[in-house]
Amino acid sequence: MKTFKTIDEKVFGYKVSKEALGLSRRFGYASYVVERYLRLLGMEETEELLKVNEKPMPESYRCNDFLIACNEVEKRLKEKKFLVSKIPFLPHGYEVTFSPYSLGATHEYMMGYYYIQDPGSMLVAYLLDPRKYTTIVDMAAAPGGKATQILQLTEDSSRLIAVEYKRKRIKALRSNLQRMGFSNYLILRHDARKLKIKGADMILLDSPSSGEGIIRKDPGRKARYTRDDLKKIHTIQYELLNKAFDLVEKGGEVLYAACSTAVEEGEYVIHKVLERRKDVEVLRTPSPIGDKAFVEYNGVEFNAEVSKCIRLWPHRHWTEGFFICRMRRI
Amino acid sequence: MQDEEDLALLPKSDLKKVESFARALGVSLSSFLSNPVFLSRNGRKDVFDLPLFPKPVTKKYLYSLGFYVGYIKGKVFYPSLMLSKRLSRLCFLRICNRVDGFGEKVFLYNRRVLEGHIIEFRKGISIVVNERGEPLGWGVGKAIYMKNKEIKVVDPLKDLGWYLRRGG
Repeated sequence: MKTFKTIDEKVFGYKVSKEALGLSRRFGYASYVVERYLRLLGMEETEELLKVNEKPMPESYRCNDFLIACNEVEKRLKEKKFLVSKIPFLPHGYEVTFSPYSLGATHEYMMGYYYIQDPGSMLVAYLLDPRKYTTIVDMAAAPGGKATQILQLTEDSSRLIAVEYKRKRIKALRSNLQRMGFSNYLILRHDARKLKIKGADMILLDSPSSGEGIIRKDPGRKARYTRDDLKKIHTIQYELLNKAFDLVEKGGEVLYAACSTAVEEGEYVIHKVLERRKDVEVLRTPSPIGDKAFVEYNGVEFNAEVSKCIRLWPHRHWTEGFFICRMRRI
Repeated sequence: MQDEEDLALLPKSDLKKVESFARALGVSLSSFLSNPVFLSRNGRKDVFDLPLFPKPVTKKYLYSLGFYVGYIKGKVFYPSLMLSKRLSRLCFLRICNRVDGFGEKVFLYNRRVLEGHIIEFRKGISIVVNERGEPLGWGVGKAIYMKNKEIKVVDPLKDLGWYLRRGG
């Protein structure tokens, strides 16, 4: 653990430059966040990212072909004067460029024909590649975007164990699973770090995060967390991922995702788990979009396997910022 | 929070309450139930249906599972919106009220649908469907007097708009 302490200091405790201070004041960010961008991307690209983050994200939805054909949903929304176009790399994803009223207030929404979901978030569940008739655990399931997508992709045949601790969020999870017509699930109200279950074939851990990747949707995320907060978030992510490997059967897969562009919530979490456990291998992520994860940061060299994980950037891929990594217990 | 007991089948006394609802609607219990289990909370029993009875599952931490059929409070069974979806396939048994486009809008705002917007009418508890036959929720078909004239109406019991109104 001594090694981690030293590495922790390098990963979390870097100095903030004058350039970062200037940009953070200009765009309203916590300065350490901008400094990290500068170290990862350089000046020009950091400015580009910060500018893109100023533009709100267009709405998008995933049609629920478990209940209705996707082209029928598209047709009905167009009849209601929504401007809708297919997202090329997402089989059920559509972008809404104009809404005459809220996308969440249509009859089709109430009937469970679609789920309002951002493209990066949709991609995560496709990359999990859930298999029919398997047991899949969603360790941080609310409000149910990926949980409903797992059941949709397996035609309600996989046994989904959806775990959520927060009372308010769990209601939304249940209501979304019901609204979209699924029934092959258990919802557990529990801290996922204390779970005791057997027989999990696949695990999705869309980890609680700083949400730095969704600044376009929630600008408050620019400066919501201090470095100490980020350390706490990192610790929770590390504990959750370790737990995921305790739960999954040998040969089973774990997909880790964090809606963040922070190395502390992505590469460094995976690195720590790989250093601690010898029963984990990183799998290639066959994603239609995304960049390789970083293998070096602030003088710290991460485990080379980390390079198989991927990153989504708002300014490069026009999605939320995401870190995604597929792994297997060996 | 649930107790440490294993999940169990719904007791016969409660099953009778669900059966009496099914009878009022005009369907058989077996048309929508196979393995009814329950979770008790807030003075009511939430009833779920599972295609296969699961291996022993402790009720501890269990919040929901399987197909949500409805809940029992006191002597009454209250059907879920999911059940209206499941049973809407049986509209040919004349268990549905069919409404037009305007009626659909009104119903989803939890308001009464008047005669001019009812395409097919059934008295008493029913599933309400739109012109396409898509389920909108549960309603009650009634004949009421308005300006000394008897008219048919459908009052909502629980409509799909509830998903939005409850904020989930």
